[in-house]
Amino acid sequence: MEHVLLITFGDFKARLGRYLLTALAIGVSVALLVALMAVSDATRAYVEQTLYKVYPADIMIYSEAVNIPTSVLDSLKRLQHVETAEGIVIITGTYRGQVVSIVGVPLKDVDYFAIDLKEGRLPGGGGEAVVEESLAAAVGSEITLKIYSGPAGGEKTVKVKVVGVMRSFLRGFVGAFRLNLVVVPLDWLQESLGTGPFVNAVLVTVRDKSYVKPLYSALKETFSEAQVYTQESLLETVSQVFNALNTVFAAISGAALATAAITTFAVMSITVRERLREFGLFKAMGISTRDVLISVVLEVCIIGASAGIGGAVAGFYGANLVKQVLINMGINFNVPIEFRPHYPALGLFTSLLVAMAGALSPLYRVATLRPLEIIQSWR
Amino acid sequence: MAVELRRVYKIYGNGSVKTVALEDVSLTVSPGEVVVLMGPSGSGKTTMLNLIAALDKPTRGDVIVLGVNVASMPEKSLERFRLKNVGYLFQSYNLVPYLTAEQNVALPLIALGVRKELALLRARVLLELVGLEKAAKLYPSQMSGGMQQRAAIARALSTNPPILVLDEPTSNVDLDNASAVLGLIAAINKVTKATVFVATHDPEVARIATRVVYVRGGRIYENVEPPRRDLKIDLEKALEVYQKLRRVDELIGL
Repeated sequence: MEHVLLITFGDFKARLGRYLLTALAIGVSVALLVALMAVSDATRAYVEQTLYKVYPADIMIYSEAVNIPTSVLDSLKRLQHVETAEGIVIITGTYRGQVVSIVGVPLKDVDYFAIDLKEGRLPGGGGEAVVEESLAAAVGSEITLKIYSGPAGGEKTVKVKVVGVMRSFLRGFVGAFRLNLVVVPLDWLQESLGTGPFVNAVLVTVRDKSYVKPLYSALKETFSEAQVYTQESLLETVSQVFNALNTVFAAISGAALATAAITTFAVMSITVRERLREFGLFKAMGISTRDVLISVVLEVCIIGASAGIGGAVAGFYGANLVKQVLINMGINFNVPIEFRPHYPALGLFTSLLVAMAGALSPLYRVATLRPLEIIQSWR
Repeated sequence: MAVELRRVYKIYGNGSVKTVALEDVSLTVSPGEVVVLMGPSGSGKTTMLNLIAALDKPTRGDVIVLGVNVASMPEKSLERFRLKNVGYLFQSYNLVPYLTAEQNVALPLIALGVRKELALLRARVLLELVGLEKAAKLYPSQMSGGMQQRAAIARALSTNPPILVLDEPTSNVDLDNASAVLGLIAAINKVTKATVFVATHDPEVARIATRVVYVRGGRIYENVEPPRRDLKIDLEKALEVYQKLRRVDELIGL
């Protein structure tokens, strides 16, 4: 095999620039594939973890309109397997042109919502609020919120006093997404909106997890106009969304990889054409077709392997770089992008596949080359 | 016999368009002979060389090289046969551009399974034999045409083949170099006892021949043993280097 290595590395050295550019073309597409996968994996993991955190509840009922009677909560609490049932109101509003999510929580059960205070205190009564730190509202200040309470309710303006600034709500519900939460007392919000004793979200925790499914079915039947989620169904939805997203990513990466394969084909075709005399000489000398082919395959593999590993590393660090750029731009995308062993494996496999696919036709030309057709051509 | 051609036909093309390159050619060559094939372009001399070098197969007839009928050998076996038994000097493009002179010369030997270090050692002695001991590390682009031709001769001798096939060895070199190349071929023939076939237009090449075969229209029309003529051969140096070569060969087991 020493002669094969001599030929391979000799040619590689002679055409280093060209082969590096080919590797770069493949590497960029592999980097794109790995970066998209790393971002997708990280976001999926983060969202799933956040959902687990968010779900102190096993079941969540959510309605667009504030139309779930609070008496339902008492009925639910009376059920044998139900541990807790908390009703809240979640509505959208604006503060200084920013979209905010206003959440009304019952003050008597405020601990349930695990508000992580950065400064100040929890609301003690009507007109007091704890705001998310992203809103940059100081403790003690008074802020004006515009509230949209649905098509029927129209727009209302309310003033609240900021008594606390929080880092997170419901153990990370804020997550990677900027919700700009404003937490206020439930009864005050209901009064401000004029909804009466109604909520639009109910969080239910059960003692025996095997009871989740039957209760979910029963609630889904009872609240046919509302959306009823379980952790599982939510995760399933998340999974479906990410699968769809991954399909789009795969299509983008596929297009990039196809371009890389075409580039490899073009470069290897030109190279093989340039080297035909050389291959003819090798074969005429008596070097076997197999060895000549191995030397070309080896070159393609070196290109593919370096592109694969380089692309995977670049993709991983590129994803982190993009994340950092987004954060620096003020976009809250703080998902932990972690290195996973299948990234280099995927990069290597994909790039080798792309390189070999691009080199198939030139390799066939090498395999079928008769030394005489070349020797006769150089007379 | 080193080589025997028995009623050989070589016809190119098929259907209505056929070209008869060789027609009923028979030739017997003993080991150690220097056979010069002469004739005009298209006469069939290169076709004969290709058959003898096991690069091609006859349409009809037998080509016996070193006792083996190459006409009936499969391609894979022919590759190995060529590597071991035939040193071929092509009319042009003999050297691999990205390998040094010594790597070019060593390549067939390495392909034969000899360790790279030993093959390079033999390559350097072969380069000394052709007067290129100082050019071992040069790439073809750094060598003159004459130097490249001599390096290619050294490469043809790489595996110590019993058959040397040289196609127009003097066509791409100037007069001085042509004379040097001829002297070198004669010396190599003397010291290695290889059977040499040379196809040429150049009548000067006949000076090294033990036999001149004239080919025309795909047929041999004259097969003569020419009178000995004076040729300046540095046989002493060739023998001295050859002794060195034999010592390397003992190491390699060639």
